[in-house]
Order: sequence, then C-alpha cells, then structure tokens
Amino acid sequence: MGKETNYLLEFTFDTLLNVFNYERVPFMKKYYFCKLMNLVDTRLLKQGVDIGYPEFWYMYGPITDFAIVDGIIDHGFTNRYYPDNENVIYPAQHRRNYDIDLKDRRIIESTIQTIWSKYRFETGDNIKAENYKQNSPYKFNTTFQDFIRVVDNDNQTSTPKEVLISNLLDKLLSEFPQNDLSEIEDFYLEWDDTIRLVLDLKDSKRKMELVKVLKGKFWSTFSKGIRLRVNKNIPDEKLAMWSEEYQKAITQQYKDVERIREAIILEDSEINIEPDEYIVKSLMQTAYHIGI
Amino acid sequence: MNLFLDTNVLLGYTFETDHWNGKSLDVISHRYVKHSSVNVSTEFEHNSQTMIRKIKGMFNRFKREARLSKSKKEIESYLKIEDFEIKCILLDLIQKSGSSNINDIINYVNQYQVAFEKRCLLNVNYLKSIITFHNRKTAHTDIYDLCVLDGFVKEDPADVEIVIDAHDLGQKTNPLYFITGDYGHIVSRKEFIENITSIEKVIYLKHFDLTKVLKKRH
Repeated sequence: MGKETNYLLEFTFDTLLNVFNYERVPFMKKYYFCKLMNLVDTRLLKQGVDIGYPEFWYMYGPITDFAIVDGIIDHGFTNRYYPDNENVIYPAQHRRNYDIDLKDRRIIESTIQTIWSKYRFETGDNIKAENYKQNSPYKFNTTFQDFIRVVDNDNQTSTPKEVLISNLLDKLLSEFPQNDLSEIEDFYLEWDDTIRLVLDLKDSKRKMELVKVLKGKFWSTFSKGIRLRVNKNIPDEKLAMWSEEYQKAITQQYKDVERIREAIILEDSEINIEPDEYIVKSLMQTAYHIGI
Repeated sequence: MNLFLDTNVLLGYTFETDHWNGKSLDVISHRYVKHSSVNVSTEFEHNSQTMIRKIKGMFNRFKREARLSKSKKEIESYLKIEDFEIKCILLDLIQKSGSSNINDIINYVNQYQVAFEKRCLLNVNYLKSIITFHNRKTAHTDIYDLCVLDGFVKEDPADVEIVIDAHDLGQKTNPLYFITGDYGHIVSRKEFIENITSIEKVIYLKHFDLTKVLKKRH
C-alpha cells in the first residue's frame, strides 16, 4: 500500500515557512519550528481544522518526529524542508495545487498570519513558554522547566540555590500527577527524597553535580511517560516502541538513583541523633515480614 | 567445613531477623567458610531491594504528605487513615520528635529512615565480603531430570537451580552443608536431595546448630 500524502499538513508547512521566511534564510531550528507548529496546530484544531500534524510532548515541550512526517509528505519532509539537517527551510519547489477545501485553506492562512503578527519577533524560548501556557500536559511539566533552569544555572543567585531547589521540589510534590502516572510514582518519590539528601551534602561542587545528574535521570524517564500519553498522529508501532522504552527507563533509572542514594548514605550522610535501636530493628523486621 | 547459604539466610541476616529468632545471624557469624551462588545472589538482590523499597516507599509517602500538610495534627490524621505497615512506628516517631514543627518532624523521621537503610546496606555489603558466590558452568542435566521426575522443577524451578548450584560446588568442596529456611520446597525433600546430589546435608535454618551437625558426622 502506498503512503497517503497529507496535503493539509504540507500546505500548513509551506504557508508557515513562506510567511516566516520567504527569503529562505537558514535560521529556523527544529526547536523553534516545533514550538511554532504547536501554536498553529492548537489554533487550527480550535477552529475545526485537523491537519494531522504528528506531535508529542517530551523533555522540553511539544515536538515532532521528522521521520514520521517523512512518511506523510511527498518526497519526505527531511528531504524537502530540512535539507541541511539543521534548519527548517521553505522549499525551493512547492506544490501549486494542494487538493484541500478552500475553507480550510483560508483558515490555515489567516491562522498563520495571526501567529506571525504575534510571535515573529519572539525567541524560541518565549514561544516555548507560550506552548506551556496553552498546552502544558500538567502543571508539573511547567514547574519542572523552572527546576531545570535553576539547576542548570551556574551563576550566583541572590537566594541560595539550595533554597530555590528545595522550594521547587515542594511545588513539584504538590503537582505530581499521581493518578495519571502512578507507575512512576515510587521512582519519583525516591528521586525527590534523594535530591533532598544530596542538598544536605557539604561539598557544594559534588552536591550540584549530583543534582544535575539526578535531574536528568528523572526528567528523561518522566518525559517518556508524557510522550506516551500526550501525543497525536503517531503510528502504533512507534507508540509500542515508546512504551517499551518507558518501562525499561523506569527500571534502569530507578536503580541508578538508588545506587547514588546508597553511596551517599554509606559515605556521606550524617545521622544527628542516636536512633532508638528498638525502632530501627522494628523497621527491619517489618521489611522482612512484608517481603517473605 | 563449608556452608552453602540459600537466599532466605541472606535475607534473614540483612534484616537481622527471621522466623526462628535470628538463626540467620548465627549462621553468618559462624567461623566456617561460606558459599552461595550467583543464582542466589540475583534472587537475594531482587528480594532485598523489593523489601527495602517497600519501607522506603512508606517513608516517602509519609514525608510527601507531611511536606504538604499544614500541621502536626494533619499529619497524624493522614496516618490514621493510611494503611501503612509502619504506621505505629511513624506515629511513635512523631511523638519522639518532641516538636510540632513539620520540618523538625520530617527531619527526625528521616534520620530513622536513613539509619534503617544504612544498616541494611552495611549488612548486604558484609555478606558480599564474606561469601563466595559460585558461578556454575555445567547444566547437570542428570540431576535436573531427576528433579523433573520428582515434581521439584514444576513446584519451584528457581530452587532447583540453586540446589544444582550447590551440587556443582559440592563436587569440588566437600563436605558441603546446604542451609535453607525453605521447608516446603527444599527441606521436605531433604533425603531426595542428599541422595542425588553431592550435598552432604540439607539443614533447616530453624534447626541450625553446627555443633550437633559435626558430632553426628564424626
């Protein structure tokens, strides 16, 4: 069976790239293109036009997979719109007749004009912020972007970084979508508790290195769960592959976080009290009896 | 004198408890050479990790609620509703913390969680340092087939592999005493196992008393 060309999608791409970059200047990175497309697609869907744009939410917001789009655009998306594998460009050759409804065509054109007037001077990050404002899957996702920003910022801050991180951890705790992502809840709570343990370390260089490592371990896994839940027009085989990747990531990253935690507990953690032996023993006995 | 330790002995030592007043601790503290197998090690790591995770999970859920609570009373109410196996311990710790401040309570409870984890981890590390884990290379299909006929494989294939591990080791390290807390699958087949393998004796953890074992042997 031959592939079906999606003319609505092709027309949207052509119009968007024509309006935003008629001169074909290589400036539009995949990141920027995907963030813009999210805004366009959101508006189109609200007006009843489904262009069948394949999209999912991942680590830094909405994104598409060009390999999937390749399959629904004549001569492939990458070949036509992404020739240098760096910039999305209005193709030199494009279709004259798209075989789409005139009504849909007008809606797409006017929507892209609106997006252009509103966002043409905005940076990719500002457009991304707009994506999150309009479509963030959960508040948790939005807050985590702040968490990433704080953790990755190596400059001095007026409020100690530990305090900022700790406050964000509390916020994340209240926003975690435990009903929808229950399969990752144990890992998440372990991760949260381990970061807090790391924040108590005295060696600030090691502390921040570990926080960065832990951030990556959780966010890459959680995002795989989000990708599975918040997506559209993604082929079933791809979804099955993502599902497998997600399960593997939970197992692996959970273990990795535990290894980091164990090393801290054995080497660095200080117990400031003399724990009641009877209580510690009771905890161990409970562990044994619920497991056996 | 060589001992081969089954998974339940390692678990008993890790959590410093078992169904027979800590017999696992006696076994581990005994001066004789201790062996086990890679299969046991894998099963032990999985089981001990699951058990530790369950307790950590309860602590973590408690701490999440505590962090989202506004008062000590709210935390206590939450604990009364939740069906935690460590509920009484947590309530006790809240009292022992001697504070109404949520952060103080969390920090105090946290110390116990860390103490629990640390103790288990030290025990696991100690076990790893004193036990030689045998990695069997031979299938021993003759033994395996006899276990199939006996119905042992059908009942617990993982235990069969461990018994064969011990048999493999017993051929080089003799006499080898197999210590286990598993009555249902292993001790109940004591004679069968001793007859078909190189294992000198299967010893039920409950009855572990090496002086008696030695006297009988001589």
